[in-house]
Amino acid sequence: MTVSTIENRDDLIRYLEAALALEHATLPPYLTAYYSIRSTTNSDAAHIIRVAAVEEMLHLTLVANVLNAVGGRPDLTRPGFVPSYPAYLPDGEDDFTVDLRPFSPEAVETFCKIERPGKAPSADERLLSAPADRAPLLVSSPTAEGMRFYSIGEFYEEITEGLEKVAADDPALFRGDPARQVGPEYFYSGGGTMIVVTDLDSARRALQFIAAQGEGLDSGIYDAEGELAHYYRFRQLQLGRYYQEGDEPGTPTGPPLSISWDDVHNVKVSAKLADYPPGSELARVAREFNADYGALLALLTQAFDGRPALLQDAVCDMFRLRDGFNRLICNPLPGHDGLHAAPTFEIEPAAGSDQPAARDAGEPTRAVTP
Amino acid sequence: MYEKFPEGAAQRTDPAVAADDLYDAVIVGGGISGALIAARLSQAGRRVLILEAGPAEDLTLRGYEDYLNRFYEAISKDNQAPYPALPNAPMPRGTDVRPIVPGAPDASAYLVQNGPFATDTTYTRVLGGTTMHWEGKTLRMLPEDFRMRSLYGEGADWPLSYDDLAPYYSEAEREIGVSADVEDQAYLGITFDDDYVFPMKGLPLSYLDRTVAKDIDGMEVELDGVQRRLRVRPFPQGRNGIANPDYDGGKGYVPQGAVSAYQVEVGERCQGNNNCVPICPVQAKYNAGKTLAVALRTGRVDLVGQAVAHKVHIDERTRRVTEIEYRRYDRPDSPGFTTMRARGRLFVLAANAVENPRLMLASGLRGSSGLMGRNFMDHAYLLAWGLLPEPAGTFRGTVCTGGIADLRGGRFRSRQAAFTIDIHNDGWGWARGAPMTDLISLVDSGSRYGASLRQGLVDRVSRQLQLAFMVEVPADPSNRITVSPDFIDALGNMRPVLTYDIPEYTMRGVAYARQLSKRIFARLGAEDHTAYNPNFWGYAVHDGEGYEIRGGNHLAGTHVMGRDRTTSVVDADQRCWDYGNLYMVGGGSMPTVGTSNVTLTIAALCLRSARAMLARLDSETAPVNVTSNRRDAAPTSGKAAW
Amino acid sequence: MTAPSLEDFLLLSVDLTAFEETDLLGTGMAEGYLEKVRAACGDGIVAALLDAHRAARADAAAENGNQTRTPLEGEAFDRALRHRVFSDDRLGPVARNIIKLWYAGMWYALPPEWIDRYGAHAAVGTSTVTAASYQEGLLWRAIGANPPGAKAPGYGSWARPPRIADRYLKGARR
Repeated sequence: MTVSTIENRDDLIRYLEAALALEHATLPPYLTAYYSIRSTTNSDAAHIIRVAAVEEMLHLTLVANVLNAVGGRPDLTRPGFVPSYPAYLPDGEDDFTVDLRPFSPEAVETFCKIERPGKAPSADERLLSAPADRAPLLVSSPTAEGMRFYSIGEFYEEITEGLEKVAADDPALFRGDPARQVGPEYFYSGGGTMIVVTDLDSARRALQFIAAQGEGLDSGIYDAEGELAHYYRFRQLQLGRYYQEGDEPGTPTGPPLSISWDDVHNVKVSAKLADYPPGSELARVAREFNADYGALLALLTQAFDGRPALLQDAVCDMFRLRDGFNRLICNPLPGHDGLHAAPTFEIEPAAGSDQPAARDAGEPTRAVTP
Repeated sequence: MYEKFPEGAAQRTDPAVAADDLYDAVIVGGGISGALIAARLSQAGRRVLILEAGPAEDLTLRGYEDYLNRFYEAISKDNQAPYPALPNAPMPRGTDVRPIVPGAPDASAYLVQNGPFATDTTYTRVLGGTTMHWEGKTLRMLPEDFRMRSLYGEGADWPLSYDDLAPYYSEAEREIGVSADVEDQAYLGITFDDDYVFPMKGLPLSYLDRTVAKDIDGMEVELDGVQRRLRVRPFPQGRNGIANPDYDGGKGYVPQGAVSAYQVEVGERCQGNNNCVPICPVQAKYNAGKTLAVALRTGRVDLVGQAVAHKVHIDERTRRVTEIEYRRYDRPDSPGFTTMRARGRLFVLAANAVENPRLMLASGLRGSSGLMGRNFMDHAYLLAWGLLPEPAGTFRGTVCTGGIADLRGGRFRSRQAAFTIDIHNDGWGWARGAPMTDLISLVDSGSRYGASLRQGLVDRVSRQLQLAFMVEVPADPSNRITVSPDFIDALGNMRPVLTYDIPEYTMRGVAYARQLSKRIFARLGAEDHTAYNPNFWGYAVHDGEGYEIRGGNHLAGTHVMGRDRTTSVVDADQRCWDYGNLYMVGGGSMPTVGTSNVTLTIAALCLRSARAMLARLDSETAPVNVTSNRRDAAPTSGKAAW
Repeated sequence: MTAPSLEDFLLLSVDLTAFEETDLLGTGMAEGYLEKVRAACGDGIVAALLDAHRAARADAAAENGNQTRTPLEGEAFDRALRHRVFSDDRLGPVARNIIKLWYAGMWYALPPEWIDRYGAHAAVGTSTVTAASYQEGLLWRAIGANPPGAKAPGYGSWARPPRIADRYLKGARR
């Protein structure tokens, strides 16, 4: 057994902050693929990606609960919280790029890789040295300089073991105010319930749930509640069939999925604001989207930082961002051979704004004053 | 959680094999009544066959999205827009209705209207029934609604009291998944157990409701010498909200989302699509498919779709039903059918308050009381519409989140009908086709375009307030469903013929409602734009004033329940007085409709009846003689007339 | 005759709807709508409408000094549009239909007298363009609402004031 990279509560908090960023980092790729699907087409694929995205939100919230339970303060607005795409994720010895792509076989391949179970062949290989040219690398160790994990699964293993160790050393580890926890009344999702974290047991359950929902348990493709792990959900898109109970991992036997790869807006992969014509209306709209997204992260930060009821408002903001996302994606990106625009997720540091920017066609909107 | 619909369940039962089976119960109709009874009987180990007139298709997400796309593509977005029109199992559609010329029944659509009053009332003949398009309001009836004759000399008394039904209301609220807060719903005698909470917390009132409440809360109304203060009150809703952790003694509640066979988690909470009628796009609203999925998962429920009940066969000697003869059409889009039969110990007609008596009357079973098909009831809706002084964000939320319920009960009911008032979040949509009609008039005759059009839309649409007065209609034996060999549908089934007039008692309530709406608008500082068109198909005159009256799709009364076989069709268990193994269930059993949307009460009645059915099945251990009075029970083929 | 261009159709549509080009393209319906209009009215009439619109812009520019902003506003442009487009027997009904198309996602049948005079094409009857077009109606955005049955705003959003652009909210005061 190698030496743990989590020695104390501060280390643990840094790891949980990294986990928060990791869980978030998968959202823009899922959302880009999801919203690139043309309205009223590709129902099977759209539902699979949507459910995965919603459950990444659940994971994000669970990490926030663990962080709050040990007295940390989740911050989704810190510089670098949203990675620059393409980002990198480990795939054992290798790594792979995570781009913002339209729904395509390449995107599905990436999603499978993100969710694929990855157990290190030995404990020594949990931590590997990170190549310098792969930045941002999303599962780097926040405490061991220049090191990254074998897989997301190993990253969570490290956190869980560190948690147990720190909890054993520090009886007051779970010192967070329970009122900061996000309970099931604030977050709803079919694939798993919100876990309120108050002690080692609930913290362990939350972390294990995150790892298991992505990669599946060792025991099979379905978990105890009969839910299919994300990896296998995405595999269905590659294998062209739904899984059903009793299936072997390689051969789903449910009904076929119908996929139409052409009913997709072909957005520019990992577009940047620099790709937009300078000074154009479209560039302004893309910047506004980023500002709105930044405002959403600020609102989520407030929700995770003591005001969980705000999560309900944050969900409404996400619904509204959906409309902005769709609008951008339907616009051709001038000078890019028919490729379409897409959000760039280049988030400016929050300019002291608590509220999401409210815009409609470039005009300020506001509430009716009674 | 999503509801797993067993794959292939709609096709796995071979009707020919089923014909040789003796089920514990044969249920006609796969709507909420049939689904609840099937669920309860099968959960208790009983074997059930459901005959469904709609297409024999699994409830899948793809099928549901087909409904949704049909709705998106439809030019008319009425309450049947998402659902396929089937010549073999036709259904009334609100857009069918025409003014009736006295003496000439309007037979232009499936529901033959004999008048004198024409109604746009509907029901949906697909798996899941009318809960596919119901709005989802789940008001309990008032205790006094069960004693209308004794208390007010109007309508009829039930053989049940509120207290008898209360536990089943609670059970129905669990099954449907009702979102409400007890403190908002305990009024006018409605009581709850001390520790009761609804499965989910109440949905928030809309901004429009709140705008209205600012002026209306506290408004005094005197009626029959009694002062009341009105308030805008949230309605209980059969759609998913925030689960109440205190439910069931602290066990909590898990909202049931979309029906699907595969991994689709959606609909765990209402998203405010503002489209409860005709279709909730995410299935946050309850539909009976959710209960059917539960029933089918027991493995003891067989389902035969495309099966339109044709005749109820009885044995005159034993006074029992022996079989239900049905016509199973081969395909939704072709006229071929096979005549089949279904046999059981019990038979349950769970079609609806039009189709239940239609089937009995078409079978020549008029009932010893002579009341089969009589006492047809619905709610009479009076709309009043105005413009609020400021934009109130109309067209947001569920179709209706709040309203005024303070005039649902009281002494005045000895003289005039009571009502519930809905504040419609969809503005003048029902009354005048808003907002499309506003758009058209602003553009075509208002010279609006660009910014002036956007301004006009905010001025004209975002300020809309429509009040819908849901006025009670008492039982009247002359309001009735009949059949006639003159009116036959494509499969050779006799079509329902409706004879309907709005009673004076109801019209007095309507007239009062209109006066009250003027006061409400004045108090709000709203411009009253209400104007009733004499050419409207539902135009009714009372005391020299004319009103537009619309149907409520709250069908009731046609096989009324009672204590006495001479004055009712079914008993308090919804068992037919005339035939010991026949239950007629649903709104048809209700002696009064009060001022509640009927589905919750129907569900409570069916859950209560399911207990009675189980007790009856348990008591009948002796083999049932199922000799058919038809010698040849083999399937025969036919061809529908289209 | 060259086919009417999407670019010109968008320029016209921005002025007719007071939504930006990115909003119109953002519906994903722009090409489908142009096709619908061409199918219903014929290219000759669409081209004439686009010409009249261009001329109206030129009129306004001549009167006001050089304006290139879209949507073009102001009295002179309004008058030019009324004179050249909305009051024209042939072009007015088509322009109004294009407005309704963008706002409702629905092509409404042209008036019978228009069809009598200017010819009936295949797609003249009232029809939705696609299942998606209903969802993309600009009407709903104008009133800060979602098209019923699509683009859900989220649980509880309805309890909040509507999000309507400021300038239209202020104008709505009585």
